Parts: sequence; C-alpha cells; structure tokens
Amino acid sequence: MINYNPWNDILKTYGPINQRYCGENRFIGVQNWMEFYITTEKPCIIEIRTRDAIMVNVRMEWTYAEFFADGGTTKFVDRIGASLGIHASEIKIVSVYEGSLIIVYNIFSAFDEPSDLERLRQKQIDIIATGNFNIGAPIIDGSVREKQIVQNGVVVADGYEPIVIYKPTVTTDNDNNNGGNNNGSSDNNNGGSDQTTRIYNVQTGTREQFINNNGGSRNSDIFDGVKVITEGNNNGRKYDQMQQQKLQQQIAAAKAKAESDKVEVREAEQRLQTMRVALITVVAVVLIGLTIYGMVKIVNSFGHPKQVTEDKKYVEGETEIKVLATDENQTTQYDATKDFNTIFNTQTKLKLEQQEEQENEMKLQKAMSKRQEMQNDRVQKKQVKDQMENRKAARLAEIQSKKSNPTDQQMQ
Amino acid sequence: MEISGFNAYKCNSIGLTGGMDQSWEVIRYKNNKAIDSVGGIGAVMVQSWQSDRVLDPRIEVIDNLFIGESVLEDCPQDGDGGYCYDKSKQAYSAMMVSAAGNDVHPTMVPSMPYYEPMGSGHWEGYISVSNNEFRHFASTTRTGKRNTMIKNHPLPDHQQIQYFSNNKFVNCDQSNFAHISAPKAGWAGISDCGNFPCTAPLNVLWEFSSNTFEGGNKVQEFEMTGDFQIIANNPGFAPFAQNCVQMSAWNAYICRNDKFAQIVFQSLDSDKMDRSMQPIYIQKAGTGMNNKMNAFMDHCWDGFYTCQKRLQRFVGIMETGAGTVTTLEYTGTPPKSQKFTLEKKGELVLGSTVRIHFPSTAARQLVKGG
Repeated sequence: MINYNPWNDILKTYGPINQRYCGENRFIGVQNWMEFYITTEKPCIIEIRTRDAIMVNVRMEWTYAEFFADGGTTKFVDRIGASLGIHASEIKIVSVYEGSLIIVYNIFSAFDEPSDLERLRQKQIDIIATGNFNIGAPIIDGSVREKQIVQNGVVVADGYEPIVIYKPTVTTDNDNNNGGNNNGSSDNNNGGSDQTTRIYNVQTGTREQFINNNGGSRNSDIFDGVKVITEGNNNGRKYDQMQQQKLQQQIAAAKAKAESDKVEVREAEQRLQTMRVALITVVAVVLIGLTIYGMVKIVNSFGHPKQVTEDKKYVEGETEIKVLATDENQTTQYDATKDFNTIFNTQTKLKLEQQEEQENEMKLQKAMSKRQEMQNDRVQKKQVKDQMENRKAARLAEIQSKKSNPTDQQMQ
Repeated sequence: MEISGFNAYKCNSIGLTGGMDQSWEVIRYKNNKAIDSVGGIGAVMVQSWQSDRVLDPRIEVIDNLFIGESVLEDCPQDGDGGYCYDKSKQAYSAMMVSAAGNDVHPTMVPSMPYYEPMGSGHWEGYISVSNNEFRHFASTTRTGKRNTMIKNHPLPDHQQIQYFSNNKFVNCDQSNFAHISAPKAGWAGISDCGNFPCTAPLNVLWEFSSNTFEGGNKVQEFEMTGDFQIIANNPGFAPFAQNCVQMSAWNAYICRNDKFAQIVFQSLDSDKMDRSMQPIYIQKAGTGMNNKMNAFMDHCWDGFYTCQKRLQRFVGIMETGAGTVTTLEYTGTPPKSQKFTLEKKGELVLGSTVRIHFPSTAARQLVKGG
C-alpha cells in the first residue's frame, strides 16, 4: 500500500504529485479526486481499492488559520490517535475546510478486521458523546458514519445522556463591527446582517470549562476577541432563545428515547441472562461427557498391554531394517536380472519336465491300448476258429451218420 | 513455439498463422516466406483464459521474407480467364494476443476464420517484428486494389503495441506502406459492443526503429528514418498529438513522438462482466484530447444469443511526459476496485499523473504491484 503524499499546509490538501515514483498518489477531499502517477517501468501495476473505514465529520469552534497554526493535520491526527489509542497511520484526513472548521477523516483498522473497526467506531462515538474527545477545540457538530452524535453542541446520539458539550451562541457581523450594545442596527430582517455570515461565539463559562476539562491543551488565544452576547442585543437574544427552546425540545425527545431504550436494555439483559444459563448448561454437559470419554479411554489404555508389545515389536523391526540398511549390508548390489533368469529357467525346466511326463504317459497309454486291441483281436480269431472247427466236426458227424443209416429213398 | 520454414504463396486469406495453444509464452514466426498473399503472415496468439493475469506473452516475427505480387495474375483477362480473386493485399497482418481462439485441431469447419480470436483481448502482450525483408511492393495490386506492407487486422478489444525494428524495405512504394482499419460499424449493437463500436482499432500504436528503406523512404515530406510511430486516425487523440502528420490513404497518422503509450485498466469488482461503465474518456490536461473508449466485446454465446457479458477492460492510447496530467472521465460510477498499467517497452521510462473523479467519499487506498 502506498500512502498519500504528505499534507501540504499551504495548499490545505495533500501535497501534489511530483512524478517521483510509480504509485505516488493523493486524494483531494471534498472534490473527491484521486491522483496517482503511473509509469511504463515494470512492474508498475496499480490497484485502487476501497477500504472499509469509519468516516468521521467534526465541526469545531476554531478558525482555519488557527487550526494550521496549532500544528495542523499532523497534530490533529496525533490527538485522534491518542484519544482512540491507535497509530496515526490508521487515520487519514479526507478534507479540512472552513465553516467554522470542518474536518473529515477516516479511521481504519490496522488489521482490516470488521470487529476491530466496530470497536473503534463504538469508541469514537463514546468519546465524542461523553465530551472526552480532545482534539484541540470544542465540537459543535459531530457525526460518525453519517450518524449524528453531536448537534449544535448537544449530544443527540442514541443511548447517551443529552448533555451539552458546547453551547454556541450567535451574534451578527454588525454586532461585531459595531462592538456595541443596544445599537439596534443588527436586524436580520432589515438586511443589516446576513444569516450565512453568523459567527459562533462561546459563553465564557463554557469555554473555561472546556479548557479545564481538556487540560488546557487548546490554544486559548483563539478565544481572544470573542464577543459575548449582551442583554441589549435583542436580535441575538431572540435567536438564542429560539435556539434554547429548540435544544430543550431536542433534549426532551432524547430523554424520552433514552427511557424507552432503558426498558429495551432491561428486557435484552433478561434475555441474555436466560441464554447464559442455557449456554452454561450445555457447556457443562459437554464437559462432563468429554471427561467420561477421557476416563474410559485411560482405563482402556491400561487394559491393553498388547499394544505395548506390538509397539516394541515395531521398534525392533525398525531397528532391524536400519541395521540391514547400513552400508556394510549393501555392498553386494541386488541383481534383479539374475534372480529373474533363475526363476525363469526353473519355471521353464519344470514346464518341460511336465510336458515330457505327459508325453510318456500318452505313449504308454497308446501302447497299452494297442496291446489290448491285439489281445482282443487274438481272442476274436480264436473264437472264429473254434466255431469253424465245431461246424466242421458237426458236418463230419452228419456225413458219417448219413453213411451208416441210408434213407428209404437211397434204398429204393 | 516456433513456426518456421513455411511458404505462403497466393493464399486467399491470412497465409500463415498459429499459436492457438494456450500453453506457450512465446510464439516465434521465423524464416518463413509470404509471397503475393492476401493476408501474408498474421501473427496471433492465444495466451490464457485468465486474461487479467499479467504474464508478458510475446509474439516474435523475425527473419521472414515478404514479397509483393508475382507474375501470375489474380484476375486474368479481366475475369474471363477462368478465375478472379480481386482483393486488397497486405504482407503483415498486425494482430493480437487473445484469451481464446479456435481449437488447435478443429473437428469441424469453424464458424469464424481459424485465425480470429474467440475471446477477450489479453491484458498485455509484446509483439516484435524485426529483421524481416519486404521486397517489391507496389502501391496497388494489378487490379487496382490496396497493396499494403503492414496492416492491422481489425480486432475489437486490445491491439497490443507492435515494435518494428531492423526491417528492410527493398523496392517498395511507401505510399501504401501501412494502413489501419477503422472499427467495424457492425460492432455497434447489443450483441457486440453496445451503442458504439469497440475502440481497439482507434488505439493502435506501432513503433518503428532502425528500419532501412532501399528505393525511397519519403511519404508526404515525412522521412521514415530513425524512430517514428504510426497511430490510428482517432479523432479524439491523433489531431492533438504532437509532431504528427495525417496520412489519409493509410487512415492513420505518422509521428515522431516517443511519448505515446497505452493505458490498460479494468474493473476488479465482482460485476466486472455485467455493469457497464463505458464510455470512458482519456483527456490530457491543456489539450483538446478526448479519447473515447469502449469496453471489450461480448464474446460469449448462449444458444442463439450473446451472453450480455462484456469485460469492463479499457485500452487507450495516451501521450505521456513529464508534468502531464491525464484525466480518466468515467461516465458511469467507477468500480470499487480497479487495476491499471501503462504499456510501452523500451529503455525510456514514460509516465503521467492520472486523475479520477469519484462520486463518493468512500475510503480508497492505492496498492502497487497488484
């Protein structure tokens, strides 16, 4: 991240771009211009990003010249940093302009953490709303993230006592110029003065109180020449009365709101209490469960010496591997090819032997079957021969019987 | 990747192109010949889908030979010779580094020419054209069409700066030395660039250094010696640039001004494809410069319709220099986060103060280096 150029008190804004390095930049507040210097040098990749910040707007009883005479933005930033307890680099002035003196600044979280930013926002509201924001001059108006905290010197923030931090009163140019009382020439209606050029003054008591409260850190010179409104200034008094009435109405409204807020807070506290009890119960149950589980585990670990034995075996095994893995045991390099050849040869030999056995068996079976066939053949032949001889013998016997016993025909 | 040893002769379109693969950081066209072709060599490169990363992709066109028209006619006997290809020609087609292209090995006839980028222009790219020789280029073809040595291929998004150095031009007619095409009127439309055409062709910048010319180097009293630049005929920029001469025939300006650079910036917001910011104007304080820029084209198709998604990236030519202040005038709300670079290679470091007006007082910070 590249910071803006340093603030220039003469120009009343951040210093102009002098084209010194890639990324040199500044932001011109009010007009909202961002300027940066970009070059063809590598790498000069520039990113503009929005950053989550708290924008604070304060209007103070101070003049433009006096502000810069009293250390300007540097001292102002230091004061904010001291009040909030953050580093000056986490505060960026956006703009400073007249009316009386309006300063807009951003507060960043160093870690870009939303929770941290929320904490800073709350702290900023607190110190403004309680009148403890020491930034060199009393605050007339103050807003944090566009939420009004102080209006016309009175705290209007929700949840805070509507105290009067600073009580501005009004006079006119004519009053100042004439410096007189009861001169009657300061009638607004007659055009003798201009509402837009009103000068906010301060009652002496309030001013002293402010200085005392803040340890006199403010340059008291700026109050010199401040004109206090007198009884004779009817127009000024009328305006003052109107302002007071308006303020009283605001105070009444703020008080009513504070009352209703108190009721809401009470209810919220009750709800919170209930939730706390529930939460504590849940946590207690979880803790008891975890304790029981842990005890069971411990008891189980005592009841399993086998695990210890296994661990021991594992350690011994590891030691053995380590010993085998020493250089001495690795002097003979493992020859995978040799082993493969041996296995291959053995397998081939076994296969051949098996084949040979099968062949022999087949040959034997063939011989056996042939022999069987021959034997069968021989038996068959013998049977035929016997049959033939039997027939022959029977024929001969028939012939002989015919010879010895001639028939009637032969005898005739 | 190197593309070398090819000859492109009488090609009816870009003769030689390549580099569609997204894995290369350098595409080199070396020792090729482009003879009498309509498109010659068209250097295109597809770098990465993640086109917002700055990866410094490079295209190098070196040691090639470009030759003008051959004796073989394109349209013999005035069209009665059996064929007629009557087209303008260019030797070198200046193209771009893109985030997407056609498939390296197409399985069907692509809807667009093979060399056409199919995605948004890449964030940056260095395109160098050096040590090439251009021979025998007449100002017109035999049929009277434009015969140019260097011409841009009109692409919508980002035509990166091209650097021409140590090239040799022999027997070439310089009256049609270069030509810069204007944005296509058809780009103006809801499906492409919105209300007005995309503006990349108006922001072309070609840098020339140490080139030699045999047979004449003068165009309209401008001697093309030493370092010079050619920029597009951008009505919001070129007439206000210093030391420039308008070359109507080229649709360009020729300048002797080494302060030109291209500013590239884009939205980094999540709606960078949806929320339009165009037009954005680049204005140089103290001059009438008002360079109107459009966002990138809608390259995405969803069925019959485009996706209505346009990358909110802008590329514009600007004149830098000590003390210069350049205003970027947004016509829409500027993005919450955006990234900027100023593109120009070389020993000379250029720079300018850039001013942007924001409509809100939100806290902003500047980060260098991305």
